[in-house]
Amino acid sequence: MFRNKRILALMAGILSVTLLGGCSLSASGTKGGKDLSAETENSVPKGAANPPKGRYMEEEILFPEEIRNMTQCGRVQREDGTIAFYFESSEGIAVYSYDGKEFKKQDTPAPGPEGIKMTQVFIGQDGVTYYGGFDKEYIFHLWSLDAAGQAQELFSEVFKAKEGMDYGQIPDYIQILENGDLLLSLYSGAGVYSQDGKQRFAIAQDYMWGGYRSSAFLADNNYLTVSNEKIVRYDITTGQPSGEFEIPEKNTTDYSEMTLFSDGEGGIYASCRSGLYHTTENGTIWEQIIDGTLNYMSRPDFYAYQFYKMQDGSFTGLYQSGSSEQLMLFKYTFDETVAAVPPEILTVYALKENPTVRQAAAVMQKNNPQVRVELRIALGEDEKVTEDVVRALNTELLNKKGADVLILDGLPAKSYQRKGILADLGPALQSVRGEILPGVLDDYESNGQIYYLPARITMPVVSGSEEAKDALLSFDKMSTYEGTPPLLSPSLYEDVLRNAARLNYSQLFNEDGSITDENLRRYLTSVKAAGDRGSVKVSFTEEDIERLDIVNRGVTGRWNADYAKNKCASGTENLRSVEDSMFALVTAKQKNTEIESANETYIPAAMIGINASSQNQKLAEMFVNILFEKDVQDASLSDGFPVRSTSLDSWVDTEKSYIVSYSENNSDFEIEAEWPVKKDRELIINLVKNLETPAVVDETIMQIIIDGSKDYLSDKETVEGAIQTIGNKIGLYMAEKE
Amino acid sequence: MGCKYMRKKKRMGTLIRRKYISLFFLFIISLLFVIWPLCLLLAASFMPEDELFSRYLSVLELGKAPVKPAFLPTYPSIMPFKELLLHSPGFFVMFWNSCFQVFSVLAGQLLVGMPAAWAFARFNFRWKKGLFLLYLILLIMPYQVMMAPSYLVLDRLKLIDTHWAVILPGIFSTFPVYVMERYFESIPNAYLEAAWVDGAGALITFIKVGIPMGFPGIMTAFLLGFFEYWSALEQPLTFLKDKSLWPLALYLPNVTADQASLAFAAGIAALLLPVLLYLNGQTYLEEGITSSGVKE
Amino acid sequence: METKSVFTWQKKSRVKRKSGFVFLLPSFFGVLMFMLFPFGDTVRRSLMAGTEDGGYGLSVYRDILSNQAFRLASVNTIRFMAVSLPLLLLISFLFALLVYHFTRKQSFFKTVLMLPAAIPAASIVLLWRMMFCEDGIVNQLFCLNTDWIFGPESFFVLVFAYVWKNAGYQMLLWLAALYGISDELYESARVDGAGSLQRLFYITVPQVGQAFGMILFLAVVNSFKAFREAYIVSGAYPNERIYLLQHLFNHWYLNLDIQKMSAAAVLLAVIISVPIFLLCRNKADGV
Repeated sequence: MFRNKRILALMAGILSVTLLGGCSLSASGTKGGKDLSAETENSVPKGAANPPKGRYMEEEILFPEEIRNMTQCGRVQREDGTIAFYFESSEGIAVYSYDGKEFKKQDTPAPGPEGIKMTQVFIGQDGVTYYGGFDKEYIFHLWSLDAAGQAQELFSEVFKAKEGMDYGQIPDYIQILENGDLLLSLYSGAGVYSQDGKQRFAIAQDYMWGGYRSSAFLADNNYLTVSNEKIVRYDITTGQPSGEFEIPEKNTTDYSEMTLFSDGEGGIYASCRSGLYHTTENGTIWEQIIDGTLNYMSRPDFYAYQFYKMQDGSFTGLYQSGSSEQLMLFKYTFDETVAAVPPEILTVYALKENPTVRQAAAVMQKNNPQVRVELRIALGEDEKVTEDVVRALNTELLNKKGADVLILDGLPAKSYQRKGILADLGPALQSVRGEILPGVLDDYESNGQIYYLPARITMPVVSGSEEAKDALLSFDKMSTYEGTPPLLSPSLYEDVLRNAARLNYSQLFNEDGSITDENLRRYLTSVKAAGDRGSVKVSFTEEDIERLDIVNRGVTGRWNADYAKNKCASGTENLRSVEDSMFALVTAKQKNTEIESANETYIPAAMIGINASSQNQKLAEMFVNILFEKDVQDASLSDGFPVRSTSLDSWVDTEKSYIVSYSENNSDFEIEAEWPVKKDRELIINLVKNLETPAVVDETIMQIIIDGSKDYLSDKETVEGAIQTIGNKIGLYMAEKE
Repeated sequence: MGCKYMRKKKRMGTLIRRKYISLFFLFIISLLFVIWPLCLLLAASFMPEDELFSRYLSVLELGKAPVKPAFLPTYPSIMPFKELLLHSPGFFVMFWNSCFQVFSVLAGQLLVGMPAAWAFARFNFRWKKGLFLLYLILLIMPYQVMMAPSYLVLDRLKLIDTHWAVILPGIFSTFPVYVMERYFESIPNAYLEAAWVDGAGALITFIKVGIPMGFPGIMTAFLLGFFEYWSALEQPLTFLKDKSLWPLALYLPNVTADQASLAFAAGIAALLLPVLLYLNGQTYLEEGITSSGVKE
Repeated sequence: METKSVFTWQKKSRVKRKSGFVFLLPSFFGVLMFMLFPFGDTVRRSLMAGTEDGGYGLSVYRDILSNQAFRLASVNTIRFMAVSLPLLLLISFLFALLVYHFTRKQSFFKTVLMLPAAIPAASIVLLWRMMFCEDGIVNQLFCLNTDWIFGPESFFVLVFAYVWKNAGYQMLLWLAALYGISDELYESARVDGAGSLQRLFYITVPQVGQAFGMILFLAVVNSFKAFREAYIVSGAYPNERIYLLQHLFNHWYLNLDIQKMSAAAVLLAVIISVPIFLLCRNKADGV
């Protein structure tokens, strides 16, 4: 017996070691993990009696009424910490200073040189205020005012147009050094010029388009800018780098969204989408000062323009709104009474990053400081939806876990509804229900309940002659269309099949998403007939691409240039916004035709549902509500049209100065489109308002069709064979669900 | 075995000839069966991107062109490996995650599995056969079936999103118990009886006789377990949301088209540790067999 | 099964009877928590009748037995096993014999043959596409135009992939069994004048036969994993002939049809446990 006890003790020992080891190591395991993933940072320590208090809160500062709609033409932070804003007014330049509390009107400065539109103002290291602006030739001018108020032009040699160019140097950051030299940053690089206009040395920095470099500043003898995807400090007296810092936000490639500014003591502040960071002069670690995911810093339709540190320790951020192009001011003050980390957490799950959802998260957190919205994005931008990811989610859902709110794009929404995973959205939608397009709302309502609803829709449109449009929207006419140019441009059968299925959704698929042999036959034969005439192929060889001049649509985007080039008789597009429709509208006008929606079908996006077993029903409902509210629906985030009718209407009235152009490297084909006139905007918005059939092609069935029709479409098999293969597999797919 | 034949000197000539013919035969088989495809992979991992595209466009599903296999790259380049090792910090994190998870599982499996296997092989107790049958049935369950309820258990234990969510269920896999049981069972009775006569108790006998003599079985379970957990995909994917805890097996499927050369290099790099381990494991395996004295 | 007496502690003393379970305890405790409980939950789910709360019954079993997809998958799985298991066991046994007889124990070949088991699934997929895609090596080599990936021939690719990947693994098991045969047996047989073929059939095969059950069982276990590569290469709905139970399980899981999946798993367990039970009982006779 004695021995037995020893064995028992040993075994118990082994067990407890394993389990204890498990506990202690699991704690360190999670800790190690947190450092690497920004998304899960700052999770609340559960059960903490006294959560740490204090964080920066965001507050919008409205410009005084009289200047709110004026165009800003410069701003500068003065020695005393106040910011002077310069506005174009009818009586010349108006200046208002802001000290963190209020705006004060200041004296109007003397006018600059004749015929020059002022675009910026800055205080040089020599303490003099300098002004800059462009003339009608788009040549930059820099001047200061002498004691008599007379404008003195400087460095005009540097800025004038080089030979053979019709515009001059466009500075995106500019400063005057203590010795009077000029620091000039251009889109491709920077340099220091002595007063005779000669370049003393060049400074390497990353390419940045747009004429405004927010990620650069000069402080003392140091010029900080982004070079080789790192923040580099250059000694401005020698042009040599003297320090290097990592970009605080990982995975950021768009540095135009980052602003850098000095802390006045050699250190750096950096503002990114994820927040405001600080590091010391020789620091290696960025300390997060403000968590940007909790406020508008992460709002996708806002772009940070400039940040300032105020004398009272607060920060001021200047943003531009993507939809209105207005500049807005936000103030960040430290509030000791608010919990450092919001105590309530709402999790939102989505397969892919979605700007509308991010917008809603930013709005919700801003309006509810006690709530933190945690977005769980399962896949990176170029990752495919895999079964593994859905399986992992299902495992959570089956155990009544998982995120509180689910974005159902790409997920089996119907299955979830049937299995009771989703809660009724009724209470959440109560206040916004009347605003949602009835054509959309009706499709998701059954027995008075709604389990999921898209917050955005995209609209497939067709353009071309009446016959061509008919051919795209009916299989019988598609197979008999014999005009020149052919109906379809040289492209891949996969794309044509997908497109045709989307455009003809309701005549192709049965109620349950399956497809009859007869429909399948008409679909395949018509696509093949039209495809053969238009050199559509299953896959292209290098020579094909050369010979047929195939435009890589993956690069040029959704717009079909082949129709504009007369290579085919029809164009189809999936419109997401008014901006998106600009090319289509111009092309239609050129060809004297009109664009049309595809049998009133639309494609839902940002489909939202609430997890029925969520412990945060109230917060989840609030999130859903915000998603359909004005703040989110009004924003144009190029991921779809709003489903809120007043938000749609607002687009009819929106005027923008916005031009897009398209050209190809190896041809003289060029097209330019301006912001649509009101009549065209109305046309588009009316098309959207009339949409009523959702077209969600079951991806599994689509993949079966694409794989199964390859041999037929490349003339290796009869259509009967293809129908049989596809029919069997779809039969199997449907049988699984029985 | 060879040396035993050697002793019979008169037949040595023919035997040696036969041995070399067989070796040659073996060489051809392994060449046809394994080495050839492996060389293709190895060569591809040293190819720069444009060569990969010209040879394996359809393999990478980027277009359609006849596959032009090569055992040697035309323009060999170590860029893929450089890229993988120097510019993908994720790779190393995942590599160490894999090592930690796999070796923890294996250590646990041995610690828990050896006594269990010994119990099944060498003791009689009530319900033994029923329990053993249960162990076998659990072994055959597809992972999808166990996934949801396992999640429930791990969640209750607050283990989700820690290394232990993968390690603990792995430790209690019934697979090593089954493999080792067979080997423990084949230990000749004489040894155990001798130990018993010497006055050794159950535990001492297990440690002094069972473990050394069952060593080939233990090693086999270890190696097979290693291959299994080194390439495990489903459990980490489900139980670990935090990507910084992911093992290497999850790195590979995420290699995208614009990183085509990484796809091959990562595969070869992931192969490296199993090979090294196996080469070493083999030594232990042989030593284990000789020291146990089964053949005396 | 031959009869063989096994020394167990139980014969010697009643006290030792319990210590067997003590050895098993840690494992059993963990298995109970991490395996048995989940399995029990699966059985429970399979017995739940319909989606409505409460009520247990066998209706799900009736449903899946009449389900077309389930029948097809079962037949395919059985066919796949019937073809690939004998092939795998034979090939790996031959490998093991060759390695055992003609190389040193630290053999280069043994290592090489083990390699396929260690290659990550993602790389294997690249390899299969190289070999079997439309313009792949196999078609070029034999001037064929076969659709190995989506056509009915994909069945052979699946069998080949399974054998290729597992031959080394199974060889290791055979080898361990071969090393377990005592040299005296061969020696005395040779003294008696037995040829090498006779030694193979009268010593090696029966001796190794004891391990056959285990090796077969592990081959079956691994055959359930063969679908992983097929899934990546041929997609979720491959050619009808290689649509296996695992495909179906996977799809049920994705569609949250947990009841059906659980019921099918329980059926699978029952079916598999019959031969295992017979095997165990056979062994019991010997003790």
